[in-house]
Amino acid sequence: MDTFELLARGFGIALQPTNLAFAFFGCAMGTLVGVLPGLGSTAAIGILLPFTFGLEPTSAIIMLAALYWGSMYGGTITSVLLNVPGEASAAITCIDGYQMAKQGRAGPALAVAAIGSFIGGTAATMALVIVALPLTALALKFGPPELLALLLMTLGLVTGLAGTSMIRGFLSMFLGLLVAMVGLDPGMGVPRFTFGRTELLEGISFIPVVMGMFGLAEVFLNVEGRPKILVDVRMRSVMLSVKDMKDSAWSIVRGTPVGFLLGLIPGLTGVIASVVAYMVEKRFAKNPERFGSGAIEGVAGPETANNAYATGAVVPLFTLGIPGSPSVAVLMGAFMMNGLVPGPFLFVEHSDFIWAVIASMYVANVILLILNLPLIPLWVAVLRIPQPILYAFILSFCVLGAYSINNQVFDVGMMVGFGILGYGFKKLDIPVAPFIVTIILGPLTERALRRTLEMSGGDYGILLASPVAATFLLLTVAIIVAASLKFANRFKADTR
Amino acid sequence: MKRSYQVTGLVIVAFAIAVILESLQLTYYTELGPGPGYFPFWIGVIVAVLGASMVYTATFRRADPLPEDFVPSRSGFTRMGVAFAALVWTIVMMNPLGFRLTNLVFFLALLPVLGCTNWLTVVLISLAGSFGVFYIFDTILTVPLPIGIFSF
Repeated sequence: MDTFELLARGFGIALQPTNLAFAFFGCAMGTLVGVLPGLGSTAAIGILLPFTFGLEPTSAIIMLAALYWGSMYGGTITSVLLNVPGEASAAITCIDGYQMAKQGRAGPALAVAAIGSFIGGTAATMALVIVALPLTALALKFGPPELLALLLMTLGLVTGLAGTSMIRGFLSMFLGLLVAMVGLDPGMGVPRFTFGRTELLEGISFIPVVMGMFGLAEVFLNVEGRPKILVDVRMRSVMLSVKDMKDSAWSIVRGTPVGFLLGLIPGLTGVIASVVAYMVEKRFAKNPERFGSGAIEGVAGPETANNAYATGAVVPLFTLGIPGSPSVAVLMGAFMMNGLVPGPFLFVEHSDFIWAVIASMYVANVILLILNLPLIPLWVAVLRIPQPILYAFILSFCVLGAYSINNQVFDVGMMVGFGILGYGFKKLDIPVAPFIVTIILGPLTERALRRTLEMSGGDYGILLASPVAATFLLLTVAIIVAASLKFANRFKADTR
Repeated sequence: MKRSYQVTGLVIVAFAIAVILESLQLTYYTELGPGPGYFPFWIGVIVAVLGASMVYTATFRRADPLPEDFVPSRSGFTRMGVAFAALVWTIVMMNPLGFRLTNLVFFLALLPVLGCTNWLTVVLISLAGSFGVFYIFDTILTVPLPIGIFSF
């Protein structure tokens, strides 16, 4: 039986009323969970897992997978409306999405995110069907040296987020790297900058940092000043204009392969996919200075990449039994609890099940579009809530979100501290984005470096021995040279 | 903004020096490559240089005027101060008092200062934000929240 016949049978199972209902429920719960700061898709799948024990395995996995996709979109809603990312991977959307909301364009921001997510997720699912096995074989060639070189290139690209002042941009980037050093050293397991606190042994959690630097800082800035009217909620203003569609089309086209290909590589997270997509858009833009001030491409690209990443991340799970991300690892647990072992034999021994799940991925993307597009005016209307009530709830939900990560108030304290830092950054016009991105990239890069050097016995030449790694390194050098020249010119201009 | 950047730059340099000194306590390099102290040391050096550059450019370039809203008004300071105090209250009292009572006081204190003057609205929103949210998270979503010493 060929692939398309198997897929057709899969649709037959996925479109059964019961499974459709579970997919709808999963999408709705996922969107709601994504909206709540701190409660990410990993926690949500974990919470709902016990409720699936009494269900048919196919229905259970369809619901949990739909929840996973739903949470990707849900996280975008609060990023755009409140500058508080509901899901870590939606943090980058805050940069331009929230600016669009402040300009009265929250509707187009949410609409382009929904459409981009749909197209990215659907195209990635088609790619999964056609090229899963050969692409997985290629992704497996990505060892620590290749991963290290890719991460170094991504760090180099972060210089593109520096903004108007290179000094302040680089400061933000390197301060983020310093914060990322807190915790156990990945090589020797020695505590670094923990000052005896056991809560810091695993490092500084990303969620409190992001909620503090984006969400809390924005609330502090808003409460200190005079109340502003936040948004225009007239119906026509929530639709995408022809210009919006033209501006975002290529961003969606580019975001899909970026997200999908990065999803194939185990160990990367959705944040990396959104970051790379954002920086790709900035590099391709005719007027990159618009980024950070409400450029629709800055929402379309990352959101598309995000959903395409979510699909790409299940490919190693289905084909090799390797979970590509924490959320997918919990999904893998769901598979095993239902007596299904992810890996190549899944396609042979349970082909009806796996093709039904793949078909349900298409269905979930359609459901999410149908569910979320009409709800955009409702979401935008959240901003009609009187500002005292809105800000009090934002602060309260941030506290709740930070607390629920590890059930400890230390994370809440961390979030407040970073909120004050974020407030200071905004007052001094220091960009927040490089800080956030390097907190994620720093530990990944250091771990990859240690593993690479362990493989080679301390010899850096291993990086040049791999053609893939050498190519990425060459690109990294070119990016750093270009950034350094830009830095030198700006420094001279600043001190003239 | 000149003074702001000069002070910020100096603070950053001082912070970077502290990081460098702390990193010198750690192993710098091993047979298999950089040790735990390697990256913090060099990143600390870079941050110190950037902080010094910030002081230098602030001193020798034409200063940008302070933005109009750079320094908050007295009422703005009050609102921010109360928001900050409310957050500190939740950090200190969440475990002893529990989520519901802590959040109830949080909303009751914060809403009037932020501008919600209708007392009925303040009370209803405070109850929703404390007991209502607790019900949704603890009972429906089974996300455990602190109960406190009063078991309430």
